Amino acid sequence: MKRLEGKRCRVVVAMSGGVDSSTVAGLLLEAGHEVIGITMKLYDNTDQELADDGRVLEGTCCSLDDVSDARRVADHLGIPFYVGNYEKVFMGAVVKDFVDAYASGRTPNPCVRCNDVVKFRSLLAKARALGADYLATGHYARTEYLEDGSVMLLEGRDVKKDQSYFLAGIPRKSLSQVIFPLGDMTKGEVRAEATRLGLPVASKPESQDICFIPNNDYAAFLESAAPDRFRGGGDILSLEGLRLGKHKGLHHYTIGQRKGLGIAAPEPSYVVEIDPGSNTLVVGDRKDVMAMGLFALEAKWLVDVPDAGYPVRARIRHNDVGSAARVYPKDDGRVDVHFDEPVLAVTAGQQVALYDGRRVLGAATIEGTLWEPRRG
Amino acid sequence: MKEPRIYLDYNASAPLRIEARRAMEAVLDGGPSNASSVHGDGQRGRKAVEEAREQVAAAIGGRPKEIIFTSSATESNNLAIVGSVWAAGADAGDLIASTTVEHPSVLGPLEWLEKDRGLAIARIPVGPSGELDREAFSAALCRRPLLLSMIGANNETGVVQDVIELCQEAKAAGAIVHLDAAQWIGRLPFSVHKIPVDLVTLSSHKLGGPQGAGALWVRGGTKLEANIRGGHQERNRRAGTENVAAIAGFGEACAAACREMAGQGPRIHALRERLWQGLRERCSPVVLNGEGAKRLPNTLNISFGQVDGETLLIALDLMGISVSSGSACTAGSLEPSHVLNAMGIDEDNARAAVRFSLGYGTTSDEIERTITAVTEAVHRIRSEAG
Repeated sequence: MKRLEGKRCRVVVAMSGGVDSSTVAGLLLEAGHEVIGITMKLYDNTDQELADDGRVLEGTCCSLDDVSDARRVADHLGIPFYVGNYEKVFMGAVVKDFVDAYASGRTPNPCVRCNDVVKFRSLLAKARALGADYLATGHYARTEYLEDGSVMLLEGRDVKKDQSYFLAGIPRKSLSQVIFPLGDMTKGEVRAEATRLGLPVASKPESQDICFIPNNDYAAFLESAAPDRFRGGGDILSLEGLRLGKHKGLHHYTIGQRKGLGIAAPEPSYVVEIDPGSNTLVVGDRKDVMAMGLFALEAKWLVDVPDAGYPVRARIRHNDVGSAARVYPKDDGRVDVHFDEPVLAVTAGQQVALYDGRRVLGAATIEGTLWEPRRG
Repeated sequence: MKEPRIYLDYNASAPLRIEARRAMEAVLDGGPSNASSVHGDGQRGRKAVEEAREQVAAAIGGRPKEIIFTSSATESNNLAIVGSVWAAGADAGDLIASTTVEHPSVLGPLEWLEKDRGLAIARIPVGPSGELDREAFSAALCRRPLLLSMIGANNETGVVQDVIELCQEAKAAGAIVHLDAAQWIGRLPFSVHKIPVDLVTLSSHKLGGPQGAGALWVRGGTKLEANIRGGHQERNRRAGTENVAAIAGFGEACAAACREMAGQGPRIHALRERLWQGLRERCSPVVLNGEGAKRLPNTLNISFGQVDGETLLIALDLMGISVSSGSACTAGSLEPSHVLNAMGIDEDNARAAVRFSLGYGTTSDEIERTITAVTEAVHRIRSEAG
């Protein structure tokens, strides 16, 4: 926001209908900027809002309710508002990737992918084409301009709400074209601002789930999206190959999962391996799901590529605070991460985000573990 | 000073004509009136409805008693299709012929009859210009359809079908013939004496009347089952208290549009050609969708190379110009056009399409400003895309 002071900028705000992005629009307008609201229609839920039994499906994105909330906020603020159709790119880049990843035994993060391909590429391009100086979103993250003109991505000030993990893989060149007006605020402050601005969504509850999955039921979504690719149950094996039970279909599980396995054992069992080839789930002890390192692909850097051995904090999922590690960038976008201490549940398909202090260096998609302490 | 907005979306809804507004105000100011009531207040409304019926009938050379007032052209299309098929006692397996470039208000009832009632639908394709494929048309008629339902002038491209020949052929094959002329009436001459047709859909707000009124012309002797029952209005063919003010406005708008057509048609056509010439020269590459076909004088549908139509529409809106692109879904986002798809236009070019539709209020100055604004927006979008 500071960067915009003293200028009147044209800013496109990505409006979801939630309190965060609505507040962004209100604050930018109040600061004197020309604000244009755009809601991205990512997924067609118009026919699915009412299930066959008439019950309303919850937690679906681009629901008409969310679009109309965003429209109400725009009306309240008196700003131009549009619904952009991103169904095709979202289907091709995010939903297909999500289904493919689960079918190959991985656990994907569609929000990461959406930010990279849809929000900070397609929507940003549209904002630029509309003559906007910036695209603004409601993410809890910050940008920092260095003296040499380069731009860095930082964690949000409110560490509990920080969403920089989801942004770690966005195109580097987008950083100078986006603003995150909530990066210095706490959620409580944002709600207070929304109330002060009289926004009709000020007390709307948080949405936590993945937007295109109705009722947060991943398994049902996958089974209806690709019925032939998600087989039914198979064996749960121990690392030694003993049959311990039956699983419900591999897409119900993720690495490190310990609840809902349905096997009786004196020690807690953890999912160690998901093998779609043999349709088996391999479980072991806690130590079996620890790793000293990981390798990841499709690395994207928000800084110049670090030297081999550069010390970082590596976060392997959104709710992971991160572990001390050293990073070894390779050719072809591969990056190896060597942890100082063993780390629990490195999960293929998730993103590893790399930090230097509060600064985000880059991210890559986890492909596998390195040096499992016991099995390696 | 801020320049006034430019409205180039007459095919979505035309501005209300002053004659229509005055007629509506006269009704609204006249006091309460249910046109079915026996007393003087009711008779005042009845008179307004019947005068409008004469005006609407006159616009197409029909008789007043052949006009059924509805709420919209969408309702008229539903009534024409479902009502005639029902009255003919259609069974599962019976055939309806239609085309791939219909308005959603025709596609919808046809899909329902097909999926829910087991009727067969022959959807006749169009060529690259948007004109019906005559061989496919004849082949469909050989299958002896009960009904032919066809759009006369397309809402998206303005392409006008050769309705006289097509309807003659369909009548000769024994079909009931329905023409959706919502975009045609008031823009080009239309007469039910020249076109052998049984059912004609008319819209009020496309020709400068108010929204909330439409009509279906039903040639005397054509059997039709009501879709809305429970009242004797409109000769038992459309129950529900008449929307007297809207109907009165519709009638006056019909009269005004037809009266002005000989003068406005060529004027609007010249403006449309100037717009096309200006954009072709300054925004190349551009493709005219519907090129080679006869088109409505007011409609220009073009695809700008390497430009997303949705982005161009928003950019123009921010510059104060209203145009349209594709068709809006419930949420208000745009879907690629099934009409352009049916013409064999690939998805990229369909997404690059923008429709300019002009009308009685369009001025030469507006067209010049539009050319300048579109040129600026298209060049900016292309430079950001590249």
